[in-house]
Amino acid sequence: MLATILIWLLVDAVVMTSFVWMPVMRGCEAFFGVRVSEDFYRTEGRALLSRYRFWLLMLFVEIEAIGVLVSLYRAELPLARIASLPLVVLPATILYILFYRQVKPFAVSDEGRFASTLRRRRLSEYTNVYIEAAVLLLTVTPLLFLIYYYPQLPERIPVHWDWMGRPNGWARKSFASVFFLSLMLVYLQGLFILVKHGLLTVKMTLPAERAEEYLRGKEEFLSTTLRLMDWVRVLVSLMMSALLLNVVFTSVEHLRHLTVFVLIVDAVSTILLIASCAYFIVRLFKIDRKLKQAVGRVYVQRGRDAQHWYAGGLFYFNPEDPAVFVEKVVGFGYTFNMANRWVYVYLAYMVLLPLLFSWGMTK
Amino acid sequence: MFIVIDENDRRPIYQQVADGIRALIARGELREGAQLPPVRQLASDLGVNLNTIATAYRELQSEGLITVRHGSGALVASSRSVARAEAELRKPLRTVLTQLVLAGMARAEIMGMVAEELRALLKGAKGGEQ
Repeated sequence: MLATILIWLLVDAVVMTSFVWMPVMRGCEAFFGVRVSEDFYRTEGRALLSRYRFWLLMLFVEIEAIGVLVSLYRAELPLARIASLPLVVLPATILYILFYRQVKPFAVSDEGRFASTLRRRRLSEYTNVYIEAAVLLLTVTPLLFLIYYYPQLPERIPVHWDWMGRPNGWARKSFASVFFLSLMLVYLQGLFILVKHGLLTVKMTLPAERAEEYLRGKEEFLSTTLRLMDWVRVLVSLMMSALLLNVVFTSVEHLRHLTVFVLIVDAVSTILLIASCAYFIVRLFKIDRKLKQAVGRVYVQRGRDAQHWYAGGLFYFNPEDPAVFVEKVVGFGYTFNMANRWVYVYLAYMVLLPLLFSWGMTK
Repeated sequence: MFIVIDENDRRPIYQQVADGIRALIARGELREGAQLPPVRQLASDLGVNLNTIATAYRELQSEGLITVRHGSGALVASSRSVARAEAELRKPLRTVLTQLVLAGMARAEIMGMVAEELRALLKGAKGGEQ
């Protein structure tokens, strides 16, 4: 019980921390998503920011207090804590937008000069053959294994395991219950490839001055992001294929001793996943800081694009912009140009996941 | 290898893109056989319509500087544009010189400016060959 509360508190705290830093991550280039003068950013902007953070803190304390009370006194409502996440995000977003409206009148326009590189980005430059081979192996091997052992599987197969690797969820043997996880894995690989391919054509607006240094920093940021995705892909594949094999290992008598390997592989890959995410995020921050020191700015966009950011830079909708992925104006990383039709291909694919999930569960 | 776009420039964007690529070819930074990004990527980077880039590429293609291949971007075909009549080549020169004279520049100043620009251009071209 306490552990659940603590985990949720942690998740909420992470969400809140991102809201604390969001308005200032790009400095005066995008203060609450608005390009303001250095002067405003240092004086009035500071005061505004402290007010915003004060209200954010109040909001956080209040919502967490409600959340903890509800979980303590109404333990029969396990969904209460889950509902508190949107409860944190929604008012924080509203608060953010309210402050964005106060900053908006102080917007200054860019000088209108920007550069573009003529270098082509190719998928092959960002692809590691060994990683691709490992992922392919991890996706195909358990599938073949499941097909081979399918006739030997009992009528009741395990589909869920506890921390110690003991099965605690069962399902009737069917095509769906056996191959569901495998299909999920294939689906996830598709998603990763789709996103990676899209990120290659991410819009890169460069400043007219010191374009080369700026580009170097941004390219490093992109390739580090893609490498992080590759690592996540390998580790998730490892984790899921171990679970897939576990279906067979737990059900077939003479393979039961192998379940201990699954336990080890899953523990190791979980730890590696968390560690590599942390490592890469620190690296991304370092690249950003290095860029700030070298070039003096970490964000550039066309003056004309600025008006197409909505809700303080949370959404980008620009029908005249052919880009699918653009750099976020607030925060870190990349986001969609919601006006591009291709975005809906991505979103349709992402919606497929829960559909697949529910299909797998009902069978 | 960069091209710079100025939103306050009176030249249309396709013209700025074409001029930028022309200058890079003239300076030897883009050599024969060098690949240009596909229309989609360049359009996405600049945040302009696909047609804008396609128009710039078409213009360069008609001058014989690049060849455009469907789906795989464009290649620099030659560092010499197709021969044009001398009279035609003189026209833009005359326009620019007129502007300089109207701006009140002295003959020696204009000569100096032209020599300087030409030197920078040819130096780049030579540097590219080394």
